[in-house]
Amino acid sequence: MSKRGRTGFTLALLALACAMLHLTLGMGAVARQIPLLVVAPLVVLLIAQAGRDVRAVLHPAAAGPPSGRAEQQSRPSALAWILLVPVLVELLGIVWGPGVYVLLFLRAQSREAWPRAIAAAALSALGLWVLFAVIIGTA
Amino acid sequence: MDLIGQAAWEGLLIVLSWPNILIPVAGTLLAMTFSILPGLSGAALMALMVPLTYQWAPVPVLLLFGALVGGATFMGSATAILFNIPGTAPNAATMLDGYPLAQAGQAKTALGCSAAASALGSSFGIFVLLLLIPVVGALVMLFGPAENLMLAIWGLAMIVTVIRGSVLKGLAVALFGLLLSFVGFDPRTSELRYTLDTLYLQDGLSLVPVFLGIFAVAEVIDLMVSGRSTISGSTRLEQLTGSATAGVRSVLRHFGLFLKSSVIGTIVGVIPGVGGTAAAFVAYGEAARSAGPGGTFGRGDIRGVIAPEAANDAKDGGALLPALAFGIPGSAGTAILIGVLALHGIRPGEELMTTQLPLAFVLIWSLFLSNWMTSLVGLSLVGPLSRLTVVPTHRVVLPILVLAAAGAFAYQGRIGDVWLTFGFGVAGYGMKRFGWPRVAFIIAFVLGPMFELNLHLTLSLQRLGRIQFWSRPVVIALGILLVSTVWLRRDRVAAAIRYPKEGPDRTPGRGRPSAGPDARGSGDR
Repeated sequence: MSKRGRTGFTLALLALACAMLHLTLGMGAVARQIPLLVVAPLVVLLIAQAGRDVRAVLHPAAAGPPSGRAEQQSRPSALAWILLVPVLVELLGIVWGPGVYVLLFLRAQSREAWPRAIAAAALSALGLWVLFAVIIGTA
Repeated sequence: MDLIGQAAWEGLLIVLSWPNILIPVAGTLLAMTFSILPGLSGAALMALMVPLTYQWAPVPVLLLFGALVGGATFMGSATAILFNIPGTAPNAATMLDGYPLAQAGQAKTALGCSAAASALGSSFGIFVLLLLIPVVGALVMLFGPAENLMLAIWGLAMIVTVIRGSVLKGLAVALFGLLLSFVGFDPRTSELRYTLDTLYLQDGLSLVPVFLGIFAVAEVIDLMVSGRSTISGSTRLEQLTGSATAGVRSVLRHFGLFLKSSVIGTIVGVIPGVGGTAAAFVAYGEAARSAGPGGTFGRGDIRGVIAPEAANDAKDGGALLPALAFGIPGSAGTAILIGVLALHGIRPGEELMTTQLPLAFVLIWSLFLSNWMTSLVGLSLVGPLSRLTVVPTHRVVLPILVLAAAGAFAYQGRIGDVWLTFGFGVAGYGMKRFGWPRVAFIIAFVLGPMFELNLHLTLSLQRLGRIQFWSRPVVIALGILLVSTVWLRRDRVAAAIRYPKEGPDRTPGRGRPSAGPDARGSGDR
């Protein structure tokens, strides 16, 4: 996973850099001067790194030892839990979104009892409501 | 000088008189509480407090706002050290070594060090402020676009010194940071760049959501997928080592570094528009540079806490100089302060620096008192705060996520910032997992706008014949520093140019740092 993941990450960065290069070339001559000086070497460096990573995948002996890190939960599951935060904030707002998230997290991840999970969720929502609706006035 | 001494004494008496003293105390406690939430800086609190003070007399206003400027620093550092969450943007530099120290069970030492460096750094800044009041005009005039440009280049050059592991990855990620700092309006033509035709990106990527994502959210993902039971890896309080006293002592042991960082912070503070974040990162980079290849920066080096904390707090004294003398704000906080002063009939400038000088000192002493009080309260909280590092991971993760989401939203009230935070969180996790140094990205991202704007201004001024770049003394001094920075780490520069066999990527969170008196943590950069 580590070598493929590493290569995938490098290729993702390379794709992003290429997209930014494309956007840079579409800018006016003056506005793109400095960005072009930055993005061009960036693409070159990332191509070099990607080549290196791909070689490591194709020739496993050249690479280092595999990761021995113990993993508590799968990476996709952790990422899904992380991305659920902005999704809920987008759908339910900054007061109820995190509150619902707290409830879901405590029930599904931490296996807390319902009363405790509901109390924690209610407290979170109340705290955020006080902060954003009462004090700051942005909710 | 007698006039200044007399005014300073008068100002001190006003601050210490009853019930005036209650105002800075209350303001400090309020700022400390408020700054626990990332994204809500001292400036945000000051803005919220402005309407409350419309009917107040000038002295209580100065007392309150001096305390608000000084009180927001320590708790931001505490969350940076304990959870990798910067309470305010300048605290981000403290995370780089503070959090690895907490991971290694050294949270007490890091917190004690942060409190001591903050208090002493702010005292240094105020001491310099007192010394420079008579010559402030000449000092501010020394810094123009050319000097700011050299300062930015110096800061960017320090990336070479703070990269560990793959130089190529470090440079690439720094270029990425620089590129993303260009999102928004072009400073010359106002043409939109990389905004994808969205309104949200027109103001550029904000610092706070990026910091929160790259460090705090990324750390949460790492905690979730790793088998670590607690942040420190210890489940009992007795297993934590270090102490607040050891932290305070470390500042005294590295007093030269503390002084150097305070000087950097004060100078950067004096320069309008540069700000505490740049001060903290420049001081951090200089500390890493001067430590040489043997340093353990980024893996739990106490010097990586001293430098940004001293610089960030010393900056406040420096920032007051142009604000009080010319009404030029050095930061968002001082901009609000100038506005508040104007609301109460106090105009920065000659009058405030002569006949109203005692009022200026009320503000200065209130800031001083607030900085010390923050640190003393912080020191008394080191024990309870360090307990948080032995709380089971599944209990820590949730508050950090909620805090990150709330902090991102609180910054500008935009849900897009919450998306940005969590998007950068995933990217930050990838960077951490696969050995792309996050510190290089952040330094470039912070200094990018300063670099670009001042480059254009300098080139324009040079073209118009208004300045001669290399005939300016501060430019020459910074140029010498720049050359020495690159020369002392020429091995890294050569490695970057030649692109030789690189060492293994330092996969963070795995293993302990190399031995050394200050090397105690694990983590990445």
